[in-house]
Parts: sequence; C-alpha cells; structure tokens
Amino acid sequence: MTSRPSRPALLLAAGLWPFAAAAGAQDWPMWGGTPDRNMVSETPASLPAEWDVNSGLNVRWVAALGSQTYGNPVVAGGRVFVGTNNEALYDKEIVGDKGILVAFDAATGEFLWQMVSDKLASGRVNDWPYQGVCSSPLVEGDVLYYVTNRGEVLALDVHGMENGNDGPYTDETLVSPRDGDILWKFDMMEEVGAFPHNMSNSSPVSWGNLLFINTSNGQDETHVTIPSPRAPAIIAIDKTNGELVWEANHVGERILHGQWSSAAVGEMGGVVQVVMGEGDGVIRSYQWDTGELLWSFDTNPEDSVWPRTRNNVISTPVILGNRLFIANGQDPEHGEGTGHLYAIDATQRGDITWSGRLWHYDTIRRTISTGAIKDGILYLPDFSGFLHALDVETGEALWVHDTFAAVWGSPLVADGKLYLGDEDGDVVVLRPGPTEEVIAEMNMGSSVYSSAVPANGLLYIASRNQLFAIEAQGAAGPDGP
Amino acid sequence: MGRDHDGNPLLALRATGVAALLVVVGAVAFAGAAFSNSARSDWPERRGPSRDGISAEIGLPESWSPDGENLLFRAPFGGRSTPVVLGDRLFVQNGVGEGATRQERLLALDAGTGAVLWEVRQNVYHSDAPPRRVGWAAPAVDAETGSVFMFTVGGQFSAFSAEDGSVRWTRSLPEEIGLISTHGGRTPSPLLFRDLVIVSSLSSSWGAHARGSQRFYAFDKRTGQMVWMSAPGGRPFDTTYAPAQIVPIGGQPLLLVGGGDGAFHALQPATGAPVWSYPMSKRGVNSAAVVIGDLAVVSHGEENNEFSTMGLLAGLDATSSGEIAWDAARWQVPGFLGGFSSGVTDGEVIYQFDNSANLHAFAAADGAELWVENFGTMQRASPVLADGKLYVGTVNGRFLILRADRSGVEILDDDVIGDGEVPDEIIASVAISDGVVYLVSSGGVYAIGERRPGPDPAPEPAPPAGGEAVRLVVWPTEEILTPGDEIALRVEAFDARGNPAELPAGITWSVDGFEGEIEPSETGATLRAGGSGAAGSVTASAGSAEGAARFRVVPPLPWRWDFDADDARLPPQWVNSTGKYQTRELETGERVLVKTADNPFLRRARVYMGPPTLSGVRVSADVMAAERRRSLGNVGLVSQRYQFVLMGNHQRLEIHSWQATPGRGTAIPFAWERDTWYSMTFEVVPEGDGVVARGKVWPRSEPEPEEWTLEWSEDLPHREGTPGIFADAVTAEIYFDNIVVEPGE
Repeated sequence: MTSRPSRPALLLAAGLWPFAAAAGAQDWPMWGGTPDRNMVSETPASLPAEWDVNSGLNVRWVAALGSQTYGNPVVAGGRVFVGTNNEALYDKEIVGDKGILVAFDAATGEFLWQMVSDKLASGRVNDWPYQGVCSSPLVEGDVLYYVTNRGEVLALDVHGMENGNDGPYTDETLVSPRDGDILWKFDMMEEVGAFPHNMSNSSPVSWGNLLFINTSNGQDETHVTIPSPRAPAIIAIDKTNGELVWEANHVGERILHGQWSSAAVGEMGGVVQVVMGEGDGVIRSYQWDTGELLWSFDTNPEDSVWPRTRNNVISTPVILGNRLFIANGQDPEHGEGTGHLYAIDATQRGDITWSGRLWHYDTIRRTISTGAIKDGILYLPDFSGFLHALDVETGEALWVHDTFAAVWGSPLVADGKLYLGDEDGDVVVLRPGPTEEVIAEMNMGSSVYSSAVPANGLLYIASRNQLFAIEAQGAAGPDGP
Repeated sequence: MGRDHDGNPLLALRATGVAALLVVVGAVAFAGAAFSNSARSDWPERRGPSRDGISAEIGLPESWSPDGENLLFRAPFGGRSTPVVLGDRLFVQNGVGEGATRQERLLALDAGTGAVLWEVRQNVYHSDAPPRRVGWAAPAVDAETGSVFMFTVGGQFSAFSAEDGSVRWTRSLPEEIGLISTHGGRTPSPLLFRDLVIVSSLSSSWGAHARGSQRFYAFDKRTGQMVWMSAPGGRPFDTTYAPAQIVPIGGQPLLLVGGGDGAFHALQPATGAPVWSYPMSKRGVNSAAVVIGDLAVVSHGEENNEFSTMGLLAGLDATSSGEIAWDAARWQVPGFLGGFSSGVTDGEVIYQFDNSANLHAFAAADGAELWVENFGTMQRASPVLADGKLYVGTVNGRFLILRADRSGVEILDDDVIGDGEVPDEIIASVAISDGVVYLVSSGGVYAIGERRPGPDPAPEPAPPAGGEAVRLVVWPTEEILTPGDEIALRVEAFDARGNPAELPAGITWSVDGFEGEIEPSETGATLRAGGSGAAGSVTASAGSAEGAARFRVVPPLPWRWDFDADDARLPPQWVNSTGKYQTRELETGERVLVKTADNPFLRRARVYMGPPTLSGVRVSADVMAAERRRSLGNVGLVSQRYQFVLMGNHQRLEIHSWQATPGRGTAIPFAWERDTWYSMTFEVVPEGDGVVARGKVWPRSEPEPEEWTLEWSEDLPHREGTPGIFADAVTAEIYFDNIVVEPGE
C-alpha cells in the first residue's frame, strides 16, 4: 500500500481506528497477496511439502465449508476469511441457499462470524444457485472489502458484530456476535445498473483511497442481449465511504458472455495503472485516480469465433515491472478449448494489441487461472489441466505438467515449492525451476477449485467443502469445528 | 448409510491397482422383461431397447480405428445426441446450417453405408436455446407404426414416417402449452409405451398450469393428441434431460425418471399418476436409474437435501409408494458426483462415470465401491454394456472399449476422435444394432463393426388383467377449440396399478370454465364448444374414479382488447400471462395491461393468444415502458413465430424469430423514450416462396406513417404461428393498451 488515507469521522465515531496496523508481514490479505496479483510469496517460511487429510499428518486444523467453495481464502490479522455457500449451516436458524463470507481464527480454525447474503430473486441469470460467495476479500486493517453474490460491494468490520454494530450502515437484520457487521454497502445493480451474468465475483484491489471492482455486467439469459449496456465494466469506489468515484464502460455491448476478471494495480512506466480483463476478451488499463483509458489489448485473434475459438478473460492479470501477463478462457461450463497467453508492455498507449505484444504463447488451452512468476519463470495452468512453465522473457515453454483433471485455481509459489489443486481434489507440489519435478501429490477429499494461500507459516487450502490449515511440522489431528 | 458424509471415501481408492484380466460378463436385462417398443434388434430410444443402456448383441468389436479398422463407415453428421436404429435405418438428430440457415434436423441414414435416405429440417423459434445446442434430444422410433419422433430443442414435437420422412403430426408445445426452453438446451428424449409417446419440459400455461413446473406429456403416437399431462414434482430448480425408464415393478409398469425438482420420480406410464418420489437434491437430476429386480439405484451430482457433501448414489426399494424418506434408502454413497452420465449394471456391479470422467464400480448389493479409474476430465455420455464390454466416449473426444468386472477394468481399445487440433466432443452414448456400434461425436457418425442380424428382443409382457377402475383418463386434452367445434372425447379406465380396467358404467360428465355441451358416446363423449374467449375442463366421473381434459375456446379473428372495463381481466384463453401480467388503472386514468416488474425471475414473458396454425395475421398495440436502474425494458408484438421488438436499453428495433441465433432476424437503431406511448403494428405476409415480416412503430400522439419501419424476409420461413405480445420488464414495468389481432392484408 502506498497510501493509507484517514477514514471519515463517522468511522472514527464507530470506534474503528483508521490507521490500523497494516496487514501482518506474513499475511495474505487479498487475492494474489499483493495488488500486482503475482501468486508468489517472497516471505521466508517453512511450508509443508506433504500432508495427509485422512490421517491428519501436518494438518493443523480443518473447518467445514459449504458444499461449493470458489472464493479463495485470505488471511489477515489472525483471521482467515473465505466465501462459500450456506450448506455448512453455521447458523442452524438460517437455512436455504445463501452466499456466505465466513471468518475463522487463523490459528485454530474456530468459527468467528459469518456474513449472510440472500440469493437474488432473479435467479441463476444473476446469481447461480449454490455457488456461494466467489469474491476473495481484501483486508486492510480492521476493514474487509468483498463483493457479494448480490452484486454488492461491502465493507465489513473484521471483528464482526462482536464489538457492536458499527456504521454508518446499521440496517443489518442478523446482529448476533456470530454475524458480520456491514460498515457500508454499494449495490452495483442499484447504483450503476449492473446486470451480473450468473455471478458477481470480483476480488477487490485498492490503491490510495480507491477500490477497483469488476461489475460482472453481462448478458441476460438469452445470451444474446446485454440487458444493461449503460452499466460500467469497472468502477472505482472511495473505500472510506463507499461512494462512486469513477466508472468506465468501453466494452459496451461487446460483452461475449459475462465479466469475471479481477483487476490488478501497479506502477508501470511511471504511471499507476488499473488493469483488468473485460467481457470482450480485451485487457484495458485505466489511470488509477481518474479512470482515463490508457491502453487496450485484444487477447483474441481476429479470425476467432465465439464461442468455439474466441474467449473472454476470467484470469487476473499479473504485473511484473512494466509488463503484465494474462491468458484468456471461458466459463468452465463451456468446457475446454484453445487459449492465448500474452506478455504485454504496459508502457505503450492506445490500442497496443500489436505494439505492446512482447510475446504470445498459443499452445495453452482455455484458462481461468492466474499466473505465478518466480525467478524468470511464469507458471500458469489451463482448464484442461496442463501447468505451463514458460520463460518469462521469451514465452518459450520450459515444461508442461499434466494434472489429469480440470484446473480452476491458480498456482502458489512459496518456500521453494509450487502448489496447484485440481477438480479431482488433488494438490500437486512441484519444485519451481527450469525442469519439471514433482515433489508430492495429495488428495483433499473433494475438488479444489481455489488456490493455496500461505500465511504466517501455515498453508491454507480450501477444497469444495472444507478449509485446511496445513503446517510443515507436527501431526495435529483434524479437530476443527 | 454407514458412510461419513464429510469425508470422501471414493477418491481414497484412486490409488488401488486395477486388475488386468477379467471375467467376461454376459449382458442381460436385469429388470425382468422390459417394456420394449422394438420388434427387431433395434436401438429404438436413447438408452436402447430396454432403456437400461444394455444391448443383447454378441460378437461386437474389441478394437477399431477411426482410420479404418472395423470401421463400417463414417458419415459427416456431427451431433450431441444418441442415434437410434429401426431395421436398416439409422436416425440422427442434429443441427444444420449456420446463422440464417440454422435449423434442427432429423436424418435417416442407411445403417449399412451411412448414405442419406431422407432428412427433415425444422426451424427453432421462441426459444433461448443457442444454435450450438440444437439437436439435444435423441429421436425415438416405433416399429409398430413405423414412426420416428423428434423433440426439438425449442419444444416442437413431431412424428414422421420412418420410410420417407413425411410428417404424421406436429405439436408446437411452446405456443400450445407454454413450454419453456432455456439457454442450457437440456431436452429429454421421447420414450414409447404401448400407444403413447412421452416427453417432458418446463411449462407455464393457464389455470392450474400457470405455475411453472416440470410436466410430463403423453401423446397418442398415431395422432399426436395429448392423452395425459402430469406434474409429479415440486418446484423445479433446473431444466433436466434425465433418461427415463419403464420397468415392471411389483405388478405395475413404472416410469422412473429424475426430475428438475431434485427428486427421483416413479409414475404410471399409462396415466401419468405419481407412484413414489425420492427427494434428494436441491438441483435437477439428469442421470437415469439403474434397476436390478426391485432395486432402483439413483444418482445426482449436485447439493444434497440432507448434508453438505455434493453428489449421491442411493439404492431404493422400487416397490415403494408415496414419498420415500431420505434415510429409507437401502444404501447410500454420499459424495458420488454422478450428475450426467448414467450407470449400467451386469446384475452384480454398477458401472458409472462421475462428472469428471472417473469410472466407478459399486457393488449393487450394498453400494460398496469396488474401484475407480480416471479416463479424462469431463463426462456426459453414458456407457453402453454389450457383449461383456463397455462402449463409451468422454467429452474430450476419447472413445473407449472397456472390459470391467468387480475386480477392475481393462482398456481394450482407446481412440481419440476428430481430425482437427482439438478433438471432437463426445456427448452422446452409442447405439448398438445388428452387430454395429454407432457413435456420434461433434464431428461425425462412426459405424463400428459388421452388419449381421442381431438377436430378437424379449417380447413385451402383456398387461395383466385389470382390477377395479380407480382412475379415468379423458383425452384429447389441451386442445384449442373454436366456438361451434365438435370434438370426440375418449375415456379409458385404469386400476390402482395403472393397468387397463373395464370402463365403469354410469359415467357422468361435467364442463367447467367454458360453455360446452356433452353427449356421451360408446367410447367417451362428444363435446360441442360454445361461447368464446374461455378456458376450462371437461370431467368424467364414475364413483370415485375421475379424469379430466382441458380446453381453450378461442373465437375467430379479429380479437380486440382495450382493458377499459372496470372488471377487465386477463383473457382466460391466453397462455403464459397469469402471474406475469395484470390489468390496472394508471395515474392518467387509463386502464391498461401491465407487464409487472416485481418478480425479476419472471421479467420476460411472451403471451400466446390462440392456435399455432394461424398465418398472415396483423397484431397492433399501444406500448409504453418505464425506466429504473439505467434500464428501459423491451416490448414487442408476435405473429407467425416472428417477434417485432422495441429494445429499450439498446435503442433498437428488431424482428427475430430465434433471437439466440444471429442471422435469424434483423435490427436497426431506433430512438424511443421512457414513459411515452408508442403505437406498433406488425404483420407477416407471403412473399414468393418465403414470407416477409414487417412492422411500424411511431409515437401514439402522431399519425401512422405510410412506410414500414422495418421489414425482414426469410427463405426458411415460419409459415404459421399464434399471435401474441412480448415484454421484458428488465427492471421497470411495461404497458400495453388497445391490442388488436386481425387478418392481414
């Protein structure tokens, strides 16, 4: 974080200290750990290479999640936060399909609180059944930001209701100490007319006092019409009060399906840029504070045809120096197909589809995963289950590992190991480097749609219905709640 | 039970080895004598002659190659549905054409050469199904009548002569009963039972059927008249396409099928009456039961009602009645994601793929998992068991011949289908007939093996002598009548087990909801419709036995509605308006028709006003739209399966018949404003071999323009269809007034 503005008086009045300690040095407070979204932890740590969820070997704790979990855990201030659905029934009184953001004690797995969001009445076109909360939160000090299944950007008190119902928002209906506490709410459907296609999933990222959010605006159930073409693709919200600062809608009616990429932020070529994949398969970069369009890059070959060969972008761009790395793909429901991976020079301006193209790797399949770059190698899996290791300078493949199952999540490189989960529930541990070397493979008991997260010496992995905290030493039994 | 709901006992077995040499298991039907509609060694329906994915053929190939080994022919007709075989004919249902020429097709091929004998093409209309999902259902054939049945992704249901493809009958189910077809495209395949051909869909029509439900429909296979309609389930969560079976259980034929409501259902196939149900999932069920004696093994790959692990395989007592309690299953395997591919059994072991292309073997006796083997990443097709081998393809284009038993699975043959960089998709299961395995991939038809006469199937059991009549079936139902029409009603009696019973004496008749005269006859009654603009039912009763048929009475054109009367209500004969539209007085004092916006789930609704056989009709109305959340809705008129629509947010005017397919329509920019009345008029008239659809729209306060605002000609035209209106109240209401439907010029 380069700047940390003060919060308005009303937050102060609510007892929230504006200069709350920055996330602990070993926290993982957002999707990708940092605003550049590189799935690498540089923090020295001793992370496990092997574990066994059946015997409990190296499993510190395990907590029940709902039946489907796509949101990635984040860890900050001694808590783990993850989005899931309501099938775990943390509160037995609250039944039926809901979006759930749950907070656990990071050390013990103890349930702390949950934020419950009803499903949208419009049904699957905006809010697919049982997919829960798909956004990965951003935690800054005592405030957590995420996007609900209802297309709302929420700022929550990380303490939940336990320290009282802080405002300005105080209209929560669930106010027990085990419920979440909303500080402010920005309803993207109400405020900017967003019509999210199937799910609002954006994982917030911030710079200065702004949060950057993909609205997930997309098609209606006809899959022909963009019902709300005047809604933006991306918005910037003042994180201190939830007010809209800028919005951009360059994609208009060209959305191929939905918009599910999250933004990355970083200084490239001396300018702080917000970069995001949009629904037409184009990466767009915006000046962070004004929303001015800096450049655009079309990830689809001109002769590609939706949906067979033309893709949108679901992955999050990864920023490294003045470059960013991004691949395209489609909704997993569309199955497998060809994809495209690019390295882009972000110092160019205008349509940089050709001028900004550093290299193009076209032997990747469709992907929804985000890359990890470590020691000159980019690791990026595709939905068909191949993990590609590429020379970051040339885009040449060094090796390709086959997981033999669909991959939805992203790799994590930390402590000299690369972790990657797949739909068959396997997590493979490889040694990062110029040659393929499998260290171990463990099964988690159900599909791993999310990505492993390191924090404070523990490795957190969410399977479809359980959250594991894994450690390098010891053999505590799985005795979570 | 006896399994940990939270753990996953299945995957732990991934590491166990697989035995290489196995015992050949002969394939037989395990449900007793099945109800087959086939007189030869045909493959008459999606899941085969006994609807269990089992073929009695022997001597089938153990290896082949797409390049020639054991390849009888390859024909360039890709698809996603299983082909069927009647005698020496192979029938393939798929999509054909692109853009403006995109249609659904039924092909009759020579089963020995792949040569095209005939084909029929049908337009898709009033459907959200996208072009690539056309041809979802498998066709079905009936040896007795020589008919082949086609249920399109858009819900048109037709019978053709298997000989020459001539149309025997066709039903436009969207227009007639408010069938809803969705973007997902899931369409169940027809199945035959005695004189009936049965399909299902979501629908929302009128009266008691205005509520959206999954409904099953049985048609007389000769005439296409509807015999019964049944909605055995609760609220549907999904559109589904689970293969149905008909098996004799405890002295009664049962139709077993997974429902969109997450329950597994057993119905009487002769009457549609529900027998038992097993609610298990919070989403729809798409896989078939595996039946062994009185054990029905059901599965799904979604949320369970009772615990948080997804997926289930459960062994049920198929002789049950009523709702089977969750824990009354004989055994359960929680966590098995058998969502799409259906299982098969050799009588001892159940072989079933999960959604991720892992093949599992379960002991039928107790559900114990014997082994699991991975074959890819994504699975939709179901294996077919024949000659001791499993034939099956994966979505990733891998086609496998496997030999499996309780100790493991052996790969006999393993080919990747497709000649491009990306393999073909295999969604369909194979058909096997007269020595040949027929595979349809996204790229073509492959005939594997050698043609030679196959074994005759077991004869269908004769219906047992009926007991006391407890239920009457009055048909045809869901007919549209004109005042003065006479229609012959049939009445049939059935006993408690759904077997035919003697017609009781002293049947009494009553008419409810419309004016009609009834004259009893030897086989039922003659109904003469009177009045106009009504909808209701005719009920036959004898003691406690009862049955009813539903009718709409629609007067001849012209029709006019101004909604001005204080008691103006929705015309009862309209389909798909209840709960979506209402009449109301605006602040201006005008009484109008309102497409409400309070339920976003029902924001889009097309009203079907009358018979689907009208042509050359002009529809006019005044329309207005409100705006909220940066959103102005869409509003339009419907005639002859074309729709003339003002698109609010897009400031566009469109004519289309199948909006989901670019090319089946046209559009121009058109500026129009919120809270302003416009007048629209729309007609479809013949032009050469085709038709032209043309419309005008103008501010109501101004005079009607001379010129048409937008015209659209099609060479593959819709030649008939019911008039109607369309509204998409995206976030705010839409208003109609002064609707006029009249013959065009």
